[in-house]
Amino acid sequence: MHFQDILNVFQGVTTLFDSPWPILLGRVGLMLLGMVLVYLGKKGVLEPLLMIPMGLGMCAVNAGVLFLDPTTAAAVTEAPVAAGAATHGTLFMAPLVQKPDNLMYILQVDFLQPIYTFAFSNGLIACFVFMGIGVLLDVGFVLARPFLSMFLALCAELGTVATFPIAVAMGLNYREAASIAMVGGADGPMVLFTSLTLAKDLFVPITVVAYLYLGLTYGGYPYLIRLLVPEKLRGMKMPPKPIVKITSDEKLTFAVVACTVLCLLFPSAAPLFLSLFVGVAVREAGLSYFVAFIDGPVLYGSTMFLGLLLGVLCEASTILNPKVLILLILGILALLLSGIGGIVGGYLAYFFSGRKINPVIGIAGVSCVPSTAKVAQKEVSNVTPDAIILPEALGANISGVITTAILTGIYVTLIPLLK
Amino acid sequence: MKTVAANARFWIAGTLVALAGVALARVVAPSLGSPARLYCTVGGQLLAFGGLVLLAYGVSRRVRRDGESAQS
Repeated sequence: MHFQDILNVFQGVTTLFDSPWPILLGRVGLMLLGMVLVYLGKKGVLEPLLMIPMGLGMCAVNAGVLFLDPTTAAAVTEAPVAAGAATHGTLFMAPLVQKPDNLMYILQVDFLQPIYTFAFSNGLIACFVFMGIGVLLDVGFVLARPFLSMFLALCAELGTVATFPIAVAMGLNYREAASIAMVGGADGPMVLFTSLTLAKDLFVPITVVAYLYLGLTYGGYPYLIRLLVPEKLRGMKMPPKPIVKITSDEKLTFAVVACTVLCLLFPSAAPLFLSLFVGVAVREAGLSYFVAFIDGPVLYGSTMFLGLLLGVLCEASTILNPKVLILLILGILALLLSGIGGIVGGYLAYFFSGRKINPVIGIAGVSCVPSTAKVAQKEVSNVTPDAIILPEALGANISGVITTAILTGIYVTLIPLLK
Repeated sequence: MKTVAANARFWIAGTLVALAGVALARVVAPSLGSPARLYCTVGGQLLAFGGLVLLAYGVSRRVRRDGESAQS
């Protein structure tokens, strides 16, 4: 037995030292990052539903690199492989394979390839997650206060709009700039859908950056609120309002009209609109079996595989891209600007309402449902425990989802027209 | 569907305004020249959103009216 044979037994280690330095450091770094994500997920600092499968996926994919046999190597690289050449790869999936013959071969080899090809790369998982969000939404909060909700949601899109020219100025093309700007909408499925549609070569780092940052909104936005809204205003009670009763008929009719109009207006984003409003419609029609199905297996199954696939996509050779640093800066900038825009909107609503509306509500316009609404209520309750702003905050929050979907439609429709 | 039928004016007006916006943005705009096309598209999209807001306004008005009548 030769030393070479022993090395072949432990190919994960052998390929590590057989890699160029940047890839070696990238693999080790990503394995460590994966472990940190699992830890932070377990601690509750980041969203555990997403971060635990994602972190574990990152560890496994960067550890489980092996020498591919010539047939698999030829299918993965989509080029003839010289005899004796050592090609690195994994048995998880090959996201860059496109030729039908190679894809058919890889589908039978890589265990996550079927889910990636048939559910991820066509946006199905994003739509499933959106369907789940639809089931959780009560559009009655929007219908009760349409102007306030829509106004705050529009203000909280500042990051989604303002990051686009900044990203272009930093050297990204229009498609990449629009995809990273969508992080400002704080809606993971929307970022995934936009980047899959507009910037497929960068969708892995963009989506990973987006989901990492979205996990931070729950921890970061309270500090932004405390920084921008003085304690006296934060604890402000709003005048009591009678309990409003929006009937399920009205909500269902609104969902049908809004879905039809938005699909007519933005056919490119129609799958997202359908997914969101079918969730709303199923809920309002009282189809309890469907609600239980979408709310449970569809939403949680999709979230788990989304996390797992995002983690597995973080293989060093796939994700290491000179643009990642720019994406990291732009992602946090987009979320920060959206939060600031939301609070500025809250202040405008406060002044225009004759100082009756608590400006903290503005942050809920950022459409991370229901995290930002909960953050707003928590910050208000910390100052005045009996002050209730949740109904207004949820209205802004749900409007935020709709305005982010509309902005996705605008970007996906208009960006390909820009030269 | 009683609450929708009782407020039919706003539902019909809102839907028609939204559909007019769609027609402007998707049917009329593509047949226009360069600058007019952009204005027409944006105007149509705003009109379509305006239609949806009109629907929502109708509902909030109905709710306010019902609240006032319940108080009196």
